Amino acid sequence: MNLMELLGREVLVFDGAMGTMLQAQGLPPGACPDVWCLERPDAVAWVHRQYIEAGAQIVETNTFGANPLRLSHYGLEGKVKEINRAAVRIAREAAEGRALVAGSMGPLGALVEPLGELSFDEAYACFRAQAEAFREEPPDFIIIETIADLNELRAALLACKDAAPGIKVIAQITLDPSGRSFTGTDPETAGLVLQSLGADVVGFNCSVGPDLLVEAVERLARVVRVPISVQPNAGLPLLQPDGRTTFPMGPEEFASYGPRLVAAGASLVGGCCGTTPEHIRRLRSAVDGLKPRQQPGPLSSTLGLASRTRSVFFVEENLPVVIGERINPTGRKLLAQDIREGTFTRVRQEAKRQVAAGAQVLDVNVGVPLIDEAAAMAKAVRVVQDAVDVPLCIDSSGASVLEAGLKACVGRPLVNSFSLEEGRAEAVLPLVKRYGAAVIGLTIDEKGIPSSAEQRLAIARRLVAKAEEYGIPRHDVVIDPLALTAGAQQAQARETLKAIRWIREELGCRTSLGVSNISFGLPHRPFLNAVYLSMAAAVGLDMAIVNPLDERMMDTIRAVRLFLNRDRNARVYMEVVGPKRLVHTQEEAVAQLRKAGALVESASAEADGKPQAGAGSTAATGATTPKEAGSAAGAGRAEAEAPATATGNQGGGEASGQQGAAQAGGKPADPLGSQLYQAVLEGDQERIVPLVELGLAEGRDPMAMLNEYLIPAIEEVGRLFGEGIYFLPQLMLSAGTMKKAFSRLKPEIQKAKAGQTEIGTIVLATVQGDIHDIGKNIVAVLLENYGFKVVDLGRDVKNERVLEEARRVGADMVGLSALMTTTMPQMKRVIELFAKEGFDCPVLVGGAATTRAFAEQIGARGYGRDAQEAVTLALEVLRERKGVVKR
Amino acid sequence: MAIPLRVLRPAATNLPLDREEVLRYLGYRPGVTRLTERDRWLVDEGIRLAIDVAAPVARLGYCAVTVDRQTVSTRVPGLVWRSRTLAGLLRGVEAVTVVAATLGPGVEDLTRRLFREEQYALATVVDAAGTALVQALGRWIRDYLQRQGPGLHLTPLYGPGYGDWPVEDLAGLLEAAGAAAIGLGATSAFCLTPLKSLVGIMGWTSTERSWTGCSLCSRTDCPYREEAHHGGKGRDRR
Repeated sequence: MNLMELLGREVLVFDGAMGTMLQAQGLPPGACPDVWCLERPDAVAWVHRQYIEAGAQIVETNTFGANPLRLSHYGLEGKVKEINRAAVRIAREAAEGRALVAGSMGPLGALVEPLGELSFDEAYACFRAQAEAFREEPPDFIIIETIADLNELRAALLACKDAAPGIKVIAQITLDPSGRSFTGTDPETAGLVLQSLGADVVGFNCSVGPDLLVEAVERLARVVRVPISVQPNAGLPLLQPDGRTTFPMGPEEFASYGPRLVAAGASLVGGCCGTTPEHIRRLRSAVDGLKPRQQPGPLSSTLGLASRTRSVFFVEENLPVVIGERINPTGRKLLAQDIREGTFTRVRQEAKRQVAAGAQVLDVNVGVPLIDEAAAMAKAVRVVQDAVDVPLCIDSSGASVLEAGLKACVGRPLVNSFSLEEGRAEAVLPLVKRYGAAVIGLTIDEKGIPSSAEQRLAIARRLVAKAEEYGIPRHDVVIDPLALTAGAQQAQARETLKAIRWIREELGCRTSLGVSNISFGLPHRPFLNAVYLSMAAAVGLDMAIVNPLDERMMDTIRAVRLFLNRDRNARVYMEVVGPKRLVHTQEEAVAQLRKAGALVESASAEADGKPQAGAGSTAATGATTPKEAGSAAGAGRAEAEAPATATGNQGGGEASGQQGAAQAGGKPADPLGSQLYQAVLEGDQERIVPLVELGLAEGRDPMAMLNEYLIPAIEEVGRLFGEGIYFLPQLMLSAGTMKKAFSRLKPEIQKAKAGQTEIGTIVLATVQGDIHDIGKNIVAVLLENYGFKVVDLGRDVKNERVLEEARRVGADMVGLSALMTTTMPQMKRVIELFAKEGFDCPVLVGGAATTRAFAEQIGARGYGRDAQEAVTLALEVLRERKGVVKR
Repeated sequence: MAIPLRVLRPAATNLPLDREEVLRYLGYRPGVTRLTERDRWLVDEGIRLAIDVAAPVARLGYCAVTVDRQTVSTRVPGLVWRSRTLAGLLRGVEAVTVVAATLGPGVEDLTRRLFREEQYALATVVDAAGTALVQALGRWIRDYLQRQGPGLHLTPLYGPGYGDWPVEDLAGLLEAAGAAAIGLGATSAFCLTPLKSLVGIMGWTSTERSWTGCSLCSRTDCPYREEAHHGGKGRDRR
């Protein structure tokens, strides 16, 4: 029997859980299971034999945690090699040729940057140490498993490919019940990235039961060529009151999913947590004789790019794919300065604005002279991936810069670019292959840019052949036949279009074009660019590198998708372009904005030196907000999803939550309002007061600034904090920003007698005997943000003083904080004191030791689990007492 | 086995501070919370400031004990602890080390000053870093003790107020450890002063037992609760 020959052609069955089996053999909870390969090889071999006798055709070594980092928890980091090698030997001996052996490689137990503290290089080194041990004592496979972070999987896969190149690698990600990994990766993205990085088998294991993985396997099967493995848990783990975890799915039910997983596309099946030899025995009989699907997934030979959480496939409805070109410092002084100084604020803004305007991929170029460009590229990639979730195009002429970007990029990027110029392909293509990227090939050879379409096609043939030499399939190569300046070389414009058609027809490759070169030196550049783009799309252009903030260009692309029957039922066109009144000149756009009363000098948003090539109309319209429904502006309402945090660029032009709300009301755009909103949302304490001053200087109503922009912003911050997207310091930065704005507006509101600056009064205190006060102080700041007058009595406050002060100030409510079980009873005493003295005032409680049940038990009006909940509660109580809360 | 009775003053920079613990106290959720460069800087700066102002000091006292089902009796006359959970934890233990340790008032003073100066975000980070630093001090003491008793094992640090151990026993414990000598005391409501302090005992055993995460604590809904390793994912399998 040669099981390896059956891989992908027959269904193969893995073993099940190891840890629980070892515990049954006497491994104490919390002890290191891996070291049993040295101390109790008999017990480990026994587990393998149990599974083999139950029908497992592949057994995994007992090395799930045998990497230096995890072994260091037990002082065993020096035993990596010894344990892993022994584990393979034990499994081989137990198998006696009846089963294949897979060297298990589990997660490091620490999050890799940017989610955690462990650097990518450190993670790689840990995995490499384990892979080197496997190279010396080779298993049939290395199985990377139970990893939820795509970046950690990348590190592991690269380490295996580098250190143990002859061993096939199975790469399995672990998904939540939501169908994504806990860091947000979906099945298609996982499949695309792992397969591109060279995994020989991809799949899922752990976390959920087989019922929740059938659909995930189906989705994975659509995008991969390699076999699929799946090793579910015996159902969703249930945490018992005594802290134990149990798994609800018995062997029969578990096995009944085997045929469904195979039908969905899996050709290797097995079990993870909670499964036993009996689960595997039943599974083996359930899938016996079944044949896996032989044909690769329908998208497996389609170019796909990915971020950590999103994939973009070059399928009809996405074409031409829009690559945003604006993260490029060439000719842009402020962006160059931003990159040189390492602040990357503008890089972040450009990323957000382009994605909100409809960019599907972002080009990242940090070519600023005399900087450490490799370090800048790595940082730019991290910043952009922190801000948006579209795939990236790493753009540099330097190989070391490309490598830094590729290494930092989580997902599957595109590399821009290689050519047949001397040494370029040799420098770039190995990097593309190693990091599993796709690549743009420019039709330039040793002699430079050719003049005819025939010559471009000939170079394209050589580019594809070169890429294939390095193991890069042609569907991952995008050929750019180069748009030259029509003003200088008029005949070339047609040659480029011919080349696009021929390359597509003869080579089956995707094509790309940097469109804006075509119009250089001619009047009405945006008009020319848009026309040329539509001509190129008509002959088959698949990808356009453009300025997405150029509305005309984006609308042209929407129109092209309509005419080519890609935008079915003209859905996007009608939604985005339909409501607009299109304009054809800057003057027309400006006139329309003036008419709508919404013109703000666009210089603030586009002050970045000269407008970008091809960005002419945007210079006039880009600084307006998306609600300018009647104008050529409106970038924010593009069909692309807005960033999850709804944070926008400071210059406007994005669909933030607040802007969207205003738009629904049909009011004109208000860029300053957007900036106030953004400043609070982003906790920008430097900008807020100048913005408020600007508003006041313009004669704005201070109360309106507060109610329409600042309060909605702090409410949005509260929501983000509640969802965990913001953590406490971000909440407090926004709170501090809000406080600064409020302090500046307060005297103006009072002067104008426009309304009350305070919506209600609350007395706060940490109870008698308790000296903790940070929680109470945080609550105080947030309450002030919402317009409460806060009378803070401090800590260790006597019960009588709470009553006295609450009476004196006419408090609408009292908030009490206590951290300790010993001081919590004081809360009850305060409530009793209020009752005894006939003082009718609701008491809210909070603090680490308090609970909702405790609050109910002592007769408190409510309980705030954290500062944000305390504010919500206070507002609710105020509404009860005063009706509508109004300034 | 001779454990010296002594005052230790480790440098704050030598404490094994866990940055992820600081982030957890601040409500950071891996994979969900989106940190910018500014936020990372803020966290690093808060940790740096907390380390700057912390003045860690600990007092350790070795004490033989007798453990039955619900009491732990020390050789110090009158010092008897009645707690079923403590007795359970110290089952088979014949001696404990009493630990009283503090960072001094520097961290909380700085936190309040930053609040007054309206540097709220930094104040919250300094406070969280201080809490994590106390935990780090606990780990440092444990490592120190472990080096003094090679071949022996220590139970987790456990103090009055945990489980059913009455918090009122805190006073006796502070006295036994001579905590006043390092400026550590408690209010009448048993708040430790300074706040960033810890008091408790660790038992010495010759057999290793395992305690994971926060499994000793009954507060299962605590937002800071650390799950036992792997939450039934990886560890159970491999």
